[in-house]
Amino acid sequence: MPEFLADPSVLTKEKLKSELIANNVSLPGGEQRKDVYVQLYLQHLTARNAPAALAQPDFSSDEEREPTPLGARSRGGAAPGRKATKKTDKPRLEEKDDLDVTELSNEDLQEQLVKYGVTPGPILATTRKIYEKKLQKMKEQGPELGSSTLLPTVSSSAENTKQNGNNDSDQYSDNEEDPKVEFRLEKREPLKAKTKTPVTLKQRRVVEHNQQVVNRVPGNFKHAAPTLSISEFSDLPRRTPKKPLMTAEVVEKTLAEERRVERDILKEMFPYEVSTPTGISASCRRPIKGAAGRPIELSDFRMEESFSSKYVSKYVPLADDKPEKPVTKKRSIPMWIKILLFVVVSVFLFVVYQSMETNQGNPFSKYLGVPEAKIQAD
Amino acid sequence: MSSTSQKHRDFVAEPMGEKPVGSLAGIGDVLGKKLADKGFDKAYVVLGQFLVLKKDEELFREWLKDTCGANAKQSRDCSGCLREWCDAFL
Repeated sequence: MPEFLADPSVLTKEKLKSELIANNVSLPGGEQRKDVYVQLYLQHLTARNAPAALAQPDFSSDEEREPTPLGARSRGGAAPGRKATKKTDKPRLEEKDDLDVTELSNEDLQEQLVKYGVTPGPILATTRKIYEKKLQKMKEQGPELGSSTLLPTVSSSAENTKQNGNNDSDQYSDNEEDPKVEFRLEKREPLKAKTKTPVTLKQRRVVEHNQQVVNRVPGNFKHAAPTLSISEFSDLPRRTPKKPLMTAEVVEKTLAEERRVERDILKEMFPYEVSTPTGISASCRRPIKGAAGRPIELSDFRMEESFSSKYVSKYVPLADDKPEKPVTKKRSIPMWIKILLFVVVSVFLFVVYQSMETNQGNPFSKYLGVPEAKIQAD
Repeated sequence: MSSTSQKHRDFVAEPMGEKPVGSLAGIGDVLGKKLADKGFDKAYVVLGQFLVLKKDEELFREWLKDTCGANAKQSRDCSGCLREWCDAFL
C-alpha cells in the first residue's frame, strides 16, 4: 500500500512542507513556489513507496514522464496489480492500452467495461465474447474520451516536475480540447444526418416508428424548427431511448392535439373557409356575364344575391349552374370524352328508336327536306 | 397495425412456455437449427441469454449475429420480439 500520495498537488503548500519536514527532507530556504515543494515531495516521498530499482528512473527522468511508464511496462508486463510504478495515472493508461482483450480475466474485463461507463451483465462463457468486442469498440472511441478525463490528473503532476510547466499545460489543454471537439463533432454529425427525419416525420405522421428513427427524434427537434412549440420537444432529448414507442406516441398525440386545437379555433373564426393544409384556398372566380361575349341571362341576376360571399358561391351554384355550359376551368373528365359519349349515346338511342318504330313515315322526314304528307292508314 | 409480423404478434401474445426457438420472430428454420445446435433449443433459453445481457438489444443482436449468423433484420426482429415479451410478462 502506498504510504504517500502519488499526486501531491492535491495537498496545500503548508501540508507539503510539513510532510517534507516530517520525513526529514530538507526544504529550500524561504518561501518557494508550490511546484518546488511538490517536486520535492515526489522525489523523496513518493519514490520511497517504490522499490529502489524503479525509483531510480523516476529520479533520472524528471521532466519526461513518458519513458518511465514504457520502461515499467517492459518490465512489469501486463500484470494488473501494479504496485511497482506509483504513478497510478500512468498504469491506468497502460492497462487501458491493453491490446489483448481476450487475455483479460472475467473480472478485469468487467473492470475495464465499468471504466468506460458500461454496466456489463455477468461475464459468462456465452457473453464473454460480446463484452470483449464491446470493450474493443469502447477503446477505439475511448482514447479520445478517456484521455480527456485522465489528462487533467496527469498534467498536474507533470506540470510540477517541469521547471516551466507551461509547455505541458499547453499541450494538455490542446489535447483536452481536441478530444472534446472530436466528441462534439461526433455528436453533431449524427445530429446533422438526422435533421432530415423530422420533416418526413411531420409529413408522414406515422405513429409507429423504428427505434432508430425515434432515437433520432430527440436530437432532431433541437435543430429543426417546426412550427409547433419547442417546449415540448426540449424534454425529448432527456428521455432515454429505452422507451421509444412511448415517446413516439406521446409526440404524435401532442402533435395531433395541437393541430386539433388550432383547427377548432380557426373553424370558429372562418366557418365558411375550406380547410386545407396550408390554410390557403382559392375559389373560382365567377365568369363575368356580358364580358368576353358571354350571353347575359335572367338567371344570372337571380343568383347574384347568393353570390355575395365568394366562399359560399363555390358550393351553392354548382347545383343551379347551367348544365349546358361545361366547366371550363376545372375538368374532371376531358372535354372530348364527354362529347364522344354524348354522340355515342345519341346514336345508340337513334338506332333503338329506328328498330322500334314501325311507322311508315320517317319522323325525320321534314328535316331531311322531303316534303311528304303523312300517309294515313285506311 | 404496426410493422410487426404475425409471428411477432403470436409470440408476444402469451407466455412462451416450451415454445421452440423457431417460434421467435426473425428466427426461421435455418437459424433455429443453428441455435439449437449451440444448445439454444427452446425460446426460453434465448430469453435467458437476452436477460443475461441485461436486456440490452444491441448486445443481444451482436450475440445473435455471432452465434447463428443472423442478419440485421432478423436480429432486430428477434430482439424486438423478446423485448416486447419481457415488457409484457416479465
